[in-house]
Order: sequence, then structure tokens, then C-alpha cells
Amino acid sequence: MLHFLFPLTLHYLVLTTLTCLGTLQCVAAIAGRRGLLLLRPPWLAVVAGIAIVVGALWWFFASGDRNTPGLAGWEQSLLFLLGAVLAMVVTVVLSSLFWRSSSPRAPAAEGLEALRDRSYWQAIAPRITSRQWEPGT
Amino acid sequence: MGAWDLALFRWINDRAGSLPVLDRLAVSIVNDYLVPLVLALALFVAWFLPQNAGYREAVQRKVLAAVGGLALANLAVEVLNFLYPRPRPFVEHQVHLLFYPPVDPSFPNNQAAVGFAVAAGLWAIDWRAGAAAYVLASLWALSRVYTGVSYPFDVLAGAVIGVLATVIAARLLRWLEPLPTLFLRWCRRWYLA
Repeated sequence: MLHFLFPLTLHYLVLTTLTCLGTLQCVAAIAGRRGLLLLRPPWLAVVAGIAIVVGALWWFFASGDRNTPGLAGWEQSLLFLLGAVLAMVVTVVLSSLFWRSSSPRAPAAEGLEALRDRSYWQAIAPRITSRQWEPGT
Repeated sequence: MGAWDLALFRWINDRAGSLPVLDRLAVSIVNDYLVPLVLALALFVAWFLPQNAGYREAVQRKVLAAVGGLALANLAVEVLNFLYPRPRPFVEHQVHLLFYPPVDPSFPNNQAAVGFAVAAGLWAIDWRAGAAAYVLASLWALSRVYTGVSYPFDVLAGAVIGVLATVIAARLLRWLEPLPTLFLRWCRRWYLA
């Protein structure tokens, strides 16, 4: 049973969150999604992303013997999913806080394309404030 | 499968302990966390990286198929573990054990099933990424034999189950339409796809 007070569970969750965060920074920089970057220019985000991934892996494997019985496969899958969601939340919140100064006027494109020239909050705020929801979508 | 399986197991496992560099490499790869994390991160990259929206949607469907394949492979392993609880090599024979002794049955190898399920999904997205994933999954599976916790046949069966699971999951996704399309549309609406 997954137990979040078990150190290995917490360590693995931290590992998945950090590696997803670092990977997302690299991917966002390479794909030109500036709205997701925590650091600019993009090359700096790539360097920081690689450093986060390598650092997280080093910390996880250096902080204990990992060749012992631990998390089952489904527990790892669940923790990876949770880590990916956490990394996404941290990324959109921090990038929205850091890069809210520029104000694009054109309506946001659909999907990840919108994050090329605006932060997540700038993309989503007009919809939330005007409540222009399309039922069923 | 007994004789050749055991002979091949002996041939691989007898190398353990004779070359410290190889032992260290095998012990680094064999753990339950490194390879699955790298493979999962590869799927994460595939989800976000493509720049063309149409191509990205096609890739994201394949990522969903790989995730579905992963779940199906795990399910198949659980069922086969129950139906055919083959003891681990270290239970039946004197082996060079370099890893902790797992308590679940040996057939089929769960790590091979998981690794090859993701590798099959990545192969469908990009053959170079898929080839790299197959190599990584193969090394992970081979390290289970080298460290004395799985038989070669169990690893082979796990690999076949993994690939088949992803192929079946891809077909299931087509049968489940419009659910995948609605899910992707929902993700796009929230700028997540």
C-alpha cells in the first residue's frame, strides 16, 4: 500500500517532480514555448533543466541504497503521474508570476501553441474572467 | 524451456563476480527506479515536444497507447504470476545473487514487460527514440538475469508481453473513440496538449 510517510515514497515523489520539472524546462525551451520558461534566455532554461534532472538523480541515488525492496510498479506509475502534475503546476504558477509583465493582445491559440508568446495565466485568464465556456468541451 | 533456459541463465549469471566493472554496471541498471523513470520521461518529452499541432496530436495518441500498454502489461504479468508461479532462480539453484531477492514469481519478468511496452510506444513515435528505448529495456532485462533474479525465458516472455500489450492498447484506443479525442481536446483547452 502506498504510504506517503514512508521515506522512499517521498523521495521518489520528489525525484519524479524534479526530473519532470527539469525536463519540461528543456522541452519548453527547445519547442519555443516561452510561456513555460522559468528562466530566460531559453539556453539558460536548458542548462537549468539539465542541472535539475542530473541533480535530482544524483540526490536520489546518493541518499540511500536503492537496490532494496521498495515501491511496486503501479506505485511508481502513480507517483510519476503525481510528480508530472506537480511539476506542471509549479511550472505554470511560477512562470505566470515571473513573466506577467508583457501583455499580448491577440487571442490565445488553442493548446500548447498559446504558450509561445504568453504565460499560462495570460492564456487562461480571459476565459476565466469572461466565462466564455463552450458546454461539453 | 527448462534445460536451455537454465543453461543460458548459467552462462550469463556465471559472469557475475568475475568483472567488477560489469557487476557495478549491472547493479546500477538493475534497480527498480532508474530505467522506468528514464522511459517515463521519454514519454513526457514526446507529449510536449512536437511543434506542429496535428503531428503532436498523433504523437500524444501514441503516448496514450504506451501508457495503456504499460497498464495492460502489468495486468498480464499479475495474471500470469498467479497462473504460473515459477520460483526465482536463487530459490531453485545456487546462483551469483547481486540484487535483493524478490518475493514475487519469476515468470514473466515484470521489468521486461514494462520496458518493452514503453519502448514499443516510443518506436511508433520515432524509431530512433524507440531503438534507444529497446536497448535500455534490453539492458535492464539482461541485468535481471546477470544479477541472478530472473531466467532468460521469463525476460523473453516479459518482452513479448510488453510489445503485444502496447499494440493491443493502440487498437483499444481506436475502439474507445471518441473518448481519446475528447480527452485530448480537454487537454488542449487547458493548454496541456
